[in-house]
Amino acid sequence: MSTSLLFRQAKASDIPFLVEAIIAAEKSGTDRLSYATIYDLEEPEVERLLSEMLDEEIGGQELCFSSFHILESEEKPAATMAVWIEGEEGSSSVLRSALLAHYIPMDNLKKAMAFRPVFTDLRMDRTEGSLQMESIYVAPEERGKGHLSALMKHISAQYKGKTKRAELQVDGENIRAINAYEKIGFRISLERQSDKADALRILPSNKKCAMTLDL
Amino acid sequence: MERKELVSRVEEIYKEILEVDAITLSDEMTANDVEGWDSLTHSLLINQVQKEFEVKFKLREVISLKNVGELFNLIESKLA
Repeated sequence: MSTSLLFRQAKASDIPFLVEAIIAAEKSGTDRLSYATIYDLEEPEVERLLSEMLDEEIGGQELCFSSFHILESEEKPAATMAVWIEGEEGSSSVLRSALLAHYIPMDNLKKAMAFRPVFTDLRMDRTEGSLQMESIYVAPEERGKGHLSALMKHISAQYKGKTKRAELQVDGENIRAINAYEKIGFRISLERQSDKADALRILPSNKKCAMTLDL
Repeated sequence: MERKELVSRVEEIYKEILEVDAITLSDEMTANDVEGWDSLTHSLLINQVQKEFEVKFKLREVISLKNVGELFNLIESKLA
């Protein structure tokens, strides 16, 4: 029996699935959700804020529902990731911070300042003009079926000719994800580490990797 | 409010958020030109400017800002 697979762009009605994807990708197999730890928010509050931000349709960064591509299996979303060309609509980090500034209360934004030394240690700039892949997620019951590779190949084919390189960032201790991306052809291009004690309180680990793939 | 006064009040906000002793802002400046102006401090700057001038920006207005001069213009348009 063959499984029916369908590739499509995300719609506003997919937002709950996208929130699930962003949170799982951020946690990276741990119980630490950076949006919650950095801004001192509870997880349900993070879920609500992410839903609202995704619905704003600020393209060129990951917190936008139309940046997401979905692979459907048997008419259900099975895998997703956000993609955009860095710099096409402005710096993704500036766009994202304008969104965060609009939705996260000032007092909570200020709390993040305490962790600035960690962000400085782990800072990785996205390459302008490259295809960015973020919040990469396969639903737990859909793992091991080749969905990640299928979705990445589909997206890469769409962007071939428009850009030469795909780039992603991953938690440095998420070996399973790193192995999966390597199998698809990604190679580690940059590694960062923070020795600040706070790193392990707020992030899945104190290591981060950038990986690239020539299209 | 004169542009000069507006600029100096914005400079005060930048000094406080970026934790620097002095800063001179010019119209063409962007985040790339200013040490410490990263995504985190950008969120704080946008919020603090609105608080200080008692104005409210629309998200689209903030997204379309290309440089510091456009931020000054946006504040002026809200105060007009």
